[in-house]
Amino acid sequence: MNQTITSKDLYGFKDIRDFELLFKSHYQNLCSYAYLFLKDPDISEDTVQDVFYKLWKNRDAVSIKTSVKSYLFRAVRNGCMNVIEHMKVRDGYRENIEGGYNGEKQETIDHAIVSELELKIRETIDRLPAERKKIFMMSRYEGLKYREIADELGISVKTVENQMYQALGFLRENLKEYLPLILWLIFIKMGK
Amino acid sequence: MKNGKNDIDRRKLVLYLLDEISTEGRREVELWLAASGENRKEYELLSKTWKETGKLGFFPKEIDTDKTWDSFSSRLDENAAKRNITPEKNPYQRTVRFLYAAAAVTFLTWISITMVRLIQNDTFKKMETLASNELVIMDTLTDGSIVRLNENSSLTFAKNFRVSERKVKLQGEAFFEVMPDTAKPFIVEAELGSVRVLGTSFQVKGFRETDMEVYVEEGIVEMSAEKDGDMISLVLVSGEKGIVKYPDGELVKEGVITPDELFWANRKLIFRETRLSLVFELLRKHYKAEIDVENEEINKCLLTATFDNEEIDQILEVIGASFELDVEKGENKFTIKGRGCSNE
Repeated sequence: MNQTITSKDLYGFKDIRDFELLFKSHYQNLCSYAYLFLKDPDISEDTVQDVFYKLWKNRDAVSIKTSVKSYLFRAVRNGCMNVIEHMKVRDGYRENIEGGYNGEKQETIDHAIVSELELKIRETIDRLPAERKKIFMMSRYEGLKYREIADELGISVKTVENQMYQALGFLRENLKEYLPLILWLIFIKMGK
Repeated sequence: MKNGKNDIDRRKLVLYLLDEISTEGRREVELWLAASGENRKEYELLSKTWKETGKLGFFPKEIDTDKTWDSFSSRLDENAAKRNITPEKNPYQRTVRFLYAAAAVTFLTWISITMVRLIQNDTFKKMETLASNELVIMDTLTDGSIVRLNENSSLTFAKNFRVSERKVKLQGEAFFEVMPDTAKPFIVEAELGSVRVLGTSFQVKGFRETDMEVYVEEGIVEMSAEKDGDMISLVLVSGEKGIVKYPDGELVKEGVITPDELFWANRKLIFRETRLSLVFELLRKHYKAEIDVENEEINKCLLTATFDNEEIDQILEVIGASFELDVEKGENKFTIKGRGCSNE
């Protein structure tokens, strides 16, 4: 979706210092977000930097109607979709590109900074069908309402509702052994 | 009533969790949640799933944002640096200037990095306090939640409290309208216990050395308190009230709600089969009006009604119409006439 554009609405990064703050406060999360789609840390970082680069270059021409944060997330998602498209073409429409780019490159994971639960979560999200995964991520990480997702993807709200129900059910079933259940215990206690 | 053990469309739980649900559906889910611990357990698993999947922290390698910015911003400079460069007179001057410029850049970078660090450290520590003295005050917190503080109360919270969980500390009495955000529960701590919410409106009373009271106007909250070293919790839904007894920490649910519980916060009066004698007493108190009742039988009528920020004339008019009473208005004085409710 295209953004309409006027520079004065641009949430106050008048100078590079504001922009620096914006960059520093969102960079990490945006990279993680991109990584969920692309599964390659370097391409993910490039994609995110590209979004920031374009935003800065076009700062006089871009206006953000939503929050800067949702703008960035959306831009990164679109960037990822482009990368995936590109990869598909490059790899000659290889079949195994369900839900993200699966390059030959074996991903290396530093277990010191990624926990077991995080790995499991990512793995489970990856197992969602591509469209469902995208909808889930838009809802979960971009904080979009059902209506906004429906409008952006050109589908009905009911479809979004259904996909989200399926997605959460799937995630719950696959993650339930890993989730910490402190409240659960409290509830049992109060049963008496 | 549809609040049996498994008697709910599971889709509604997801809608509820994501705050996409209708008012009607919300009520249904809350009743279902209140019906059994089994149900709450199921919902809790769903909301935990949602919460845990929401952490966007994972990335397979460490990112040094400061360094990344430094190299990234040089890309921006190359692009933006098409400034007018005045031709230099001689190479020596140029070098000196260059050194000055280099020094300035280093200094600036150093300052900006230090500043960012300082700011970050500071916000962690910085607590903000909202305090009312003689007056009720209202404020909007950074997450959009609205708080009304009754007289002589105070509320303390971290300045950056939207970042992780939304935790506030209360002394006194407050009414909250919480912005829904299931990923970041809103937690109110008082001396005797705490309340955990998912987006709702409720009030907490926690003055020193008195019982702590929680009244839920809308939504669902979980109230916890420690008793003899154990954490005890209680789930409260719309219209319910929980109390932690002072000083032993016993947690109980109270059935009877005082009709003017929320009057100070939103001028709301909630009557549930309340005798008119009490209704009039409260009206006299809050509206500083004189109300005369001609016939003792009138006081026996039982009123069920909610008045939301209404004027006293309107309230009395409604009461009059409900029980076939005449309301006469004099100089700052109302006289209520009629047969009343003798036989019930």
